[in-house]
Amino acid sequence: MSSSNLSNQGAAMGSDLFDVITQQDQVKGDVLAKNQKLLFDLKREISLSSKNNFTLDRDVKIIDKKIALLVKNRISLEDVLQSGEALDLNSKTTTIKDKSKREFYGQLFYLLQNNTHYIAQLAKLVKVGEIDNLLQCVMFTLYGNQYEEKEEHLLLSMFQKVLQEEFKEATSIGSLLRANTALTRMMTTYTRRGPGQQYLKQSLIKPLQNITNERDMNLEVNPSTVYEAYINDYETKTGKPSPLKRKVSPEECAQNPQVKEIIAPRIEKLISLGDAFLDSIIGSLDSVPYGIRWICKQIKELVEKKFAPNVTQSQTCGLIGGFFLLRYINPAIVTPTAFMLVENILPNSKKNLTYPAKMLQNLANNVMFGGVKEFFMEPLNVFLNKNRDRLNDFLEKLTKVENLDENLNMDQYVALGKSTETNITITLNEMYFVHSLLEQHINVLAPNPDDPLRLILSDLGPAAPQLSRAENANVELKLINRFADQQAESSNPDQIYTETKHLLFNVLREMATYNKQVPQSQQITSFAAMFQVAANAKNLELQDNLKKIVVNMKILIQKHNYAHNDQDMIGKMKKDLVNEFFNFDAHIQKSNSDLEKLKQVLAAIQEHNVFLQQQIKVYEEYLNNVKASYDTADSSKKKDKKKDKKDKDSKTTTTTTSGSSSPKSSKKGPFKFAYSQLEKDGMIIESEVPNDKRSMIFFNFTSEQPGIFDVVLMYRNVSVTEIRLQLDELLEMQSVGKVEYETDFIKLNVNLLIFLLNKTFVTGDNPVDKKK
Amino acid sequence: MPLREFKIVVLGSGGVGKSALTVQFVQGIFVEKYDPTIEDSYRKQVEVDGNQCMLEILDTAGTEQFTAMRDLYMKNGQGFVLVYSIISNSTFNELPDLREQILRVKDCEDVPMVLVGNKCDLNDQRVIGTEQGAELSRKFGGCAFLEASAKNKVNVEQIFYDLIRQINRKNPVGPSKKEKKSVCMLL
Repeated sequence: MSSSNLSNQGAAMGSDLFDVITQQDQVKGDVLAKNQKLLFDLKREISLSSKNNFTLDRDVKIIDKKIALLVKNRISLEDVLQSGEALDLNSKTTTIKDKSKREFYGQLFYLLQNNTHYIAQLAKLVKVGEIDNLLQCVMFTLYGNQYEEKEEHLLLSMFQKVLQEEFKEATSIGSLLRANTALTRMMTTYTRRGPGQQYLKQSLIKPLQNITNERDMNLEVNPSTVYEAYINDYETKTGKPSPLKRKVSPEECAQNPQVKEIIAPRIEKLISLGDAFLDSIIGSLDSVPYGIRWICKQIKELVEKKFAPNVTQSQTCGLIGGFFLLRYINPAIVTPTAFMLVENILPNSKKNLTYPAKMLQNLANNVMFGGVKEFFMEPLNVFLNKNRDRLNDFLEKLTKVENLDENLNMDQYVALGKSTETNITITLNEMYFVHSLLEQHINVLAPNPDDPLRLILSDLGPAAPQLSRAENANVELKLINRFADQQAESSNPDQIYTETKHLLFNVLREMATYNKQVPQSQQITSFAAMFQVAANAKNLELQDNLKKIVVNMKILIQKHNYAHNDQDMIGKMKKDLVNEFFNFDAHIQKSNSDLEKLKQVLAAIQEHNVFLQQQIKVYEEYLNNVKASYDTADSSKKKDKKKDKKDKDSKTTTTTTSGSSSPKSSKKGPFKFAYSQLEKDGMIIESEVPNDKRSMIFFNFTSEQPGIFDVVLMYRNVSVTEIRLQLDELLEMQSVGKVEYETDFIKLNVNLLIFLLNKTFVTGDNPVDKKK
Repeated sequence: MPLREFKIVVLGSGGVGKSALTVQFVQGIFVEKYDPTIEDSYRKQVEVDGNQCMLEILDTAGTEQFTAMRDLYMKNGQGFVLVYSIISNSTFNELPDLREQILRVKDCEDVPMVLVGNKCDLNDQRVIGTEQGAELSRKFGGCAFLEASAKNKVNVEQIFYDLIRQINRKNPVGPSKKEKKSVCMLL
């Protein structure tokens, strides 16, 4: 059905809306109603679970930090155990006993939710340490219903206010959005909500897997690193010192033919990997969440307004890219595990991933590689040159979205007959925290003595102090509009219109059932008659709704010139409603696809939850182990109390295993090596051993446990000193480019040491040992 | 005396001038334009107190969204330059957390470190006084403190030289001199 056709029919039937309502397909109506109910429940579950994950994630970080401190003996085990015990506060709920207190808090949070300037101002006033808690409360509680258009709308309009402030203060384009501020935190927290995370999954998983699935891929193109890796590789494989000189200048490394040969194909590979990322990002334009695109649009408009006409397209795109790529996409590329895009990451992938991120970033910054910065990146300019226009075009398109009001109206159009009641799930501590922040900054937030915020705060009294984790609990808070009358006067006419239309629909539907029961001649057609029916039936809600319709229509006609008179107004609304009915199928289809999308979102959130629970379980096990060892230590010696994680791994393991039942079956060695031989092989780099004694020295290598080697220095068959080598430690040194293993008296070549240990203990093919 | 290698990491909030300081030191050029860095690596050979040193300098991301990368380079770094901008309060306030994280990752109280208040050429816009910086350095266990300007090349070399000396003091060149019960005596 074409749109003109549709509106014609709408106009023709508009005069007799009752017919349409009575004739409307009851089955379809039920389907839609059921879907809407499902959607509502699903959205609620998503918002609760994602808040749950957010807190869980923070708990994991806190306990991780505390364990680190414990290891350093900075805090006691009891402190850590305490935070471990209270981890599951999610399921605990309570109610505020005091009814008036409950209502005042309901009024307070209604006011904050609907009048976004309070939070916008507050975010700029709070201290560094407070901002995260405030943002958590704002994003996941106050506007926590992430898929509810009204809350999204309000949250974004709050953003708009903070963004405008930021631009007002900016002195140059270059400094805009660069520092870490309340605004950039907000933008990030926003991208961490469900839709933002869903998009990252959709656009990045595939190109990421090109890299993270490759165990042996190496994309390093820094010639110094490649040069050293080449030497290490040669030495570890052959057991001979490399003829190449170490620690030469980067330029010299770059000139080395082997290095050149290694780097060239990597550059090719990087370009094709970069293309894969870009293709995927550009190709998914339509699935970028509305809110994120809207923020891009705001940035563009504000830049152009403030700096026009001295602003170039590349500057604008640089700023949009500064948000979209730098703060949203690239962090997910370099640390994909933190975004649940990849489960485990290989150490080599970490380094590999920084290259595509750098390529995308320079593309967005519109800066060529090389120059005074890393010279070896210059060959990647090929990628920049061929993609610059594509990216700018994409960033421009990103900003082509509707304004908030248009977007909201479109959504409300679908939300026929939705309940207007709003509940939020909030913890007692969140309530007290926000309350105390408002108290502290009331003079800035509400300078006017009869500001609604002041009135509510004075009714509430002083904020309660924060509760302990054990006492804290969730509250289901019903939001109440205390200033309903004043608000109708001042609120957006489009919103009043939509609300009135919904009220009219509800009233007419009720009238339609009434009309069915009476003969044609007595059917209701006028407002006066409807009031009569409502009064006779003692239906208070119907009476209220009718009154509200009349009041709203008056406002719309007199203040906003929406129509010439009541009749005109009603005709307009009827026409709209008829159009909505004709779109039933489209609504059902949309609600079905919404349901599908949201189910996926919920599944992803639950998956993340499982992951977080596992992490906590690991910590708990670790803490139990520590506790167990503390308990035994306590009963024996006091000094053992200061035992740390590392100690446990190395030295003490020998004593504990020997004490327990595990037999030392894996003992290997001793294997004997002459000092002079090791010196000749290039293993010994520096030594303090007097020259004349060297010929009398041997090293005895033994291993009682895989990966741990004891080396005894023998002088004329007398044991002089002992070194303990750990393979893990040596490999770690090699991976960070340390080639010298230092002891008190000699320095050894790490590569050759690894080669020797592998050859001697792992393959069992001992090249030097003659005695064994 | 062989060439010693020093791994230095430059840290701090977005826009404080980490890249500007690094590039000024390595290339002797002031980069005027702000381009957010993800991670850049530079090498430079210098002579400090008569010793040849090869510096590997890692210029890191100040953008807070990249904090998950920090652990890795903190683990590998030997010395740290902590930079704030004297014209921004928030960049100054973020440093204690950063230092705390370094100490945690290093599992050590005494890590070679220099505190730097950059952009000291913009004195008219200053919001962090020199005394505040000195105070913070005292809180940081008396770590070295310098106000610098990447633009006017004020104190840029000093930052890196001081760090090299600190690293040298902590791990003296050659086999360590402590526990000098060494082999020579035992033999």
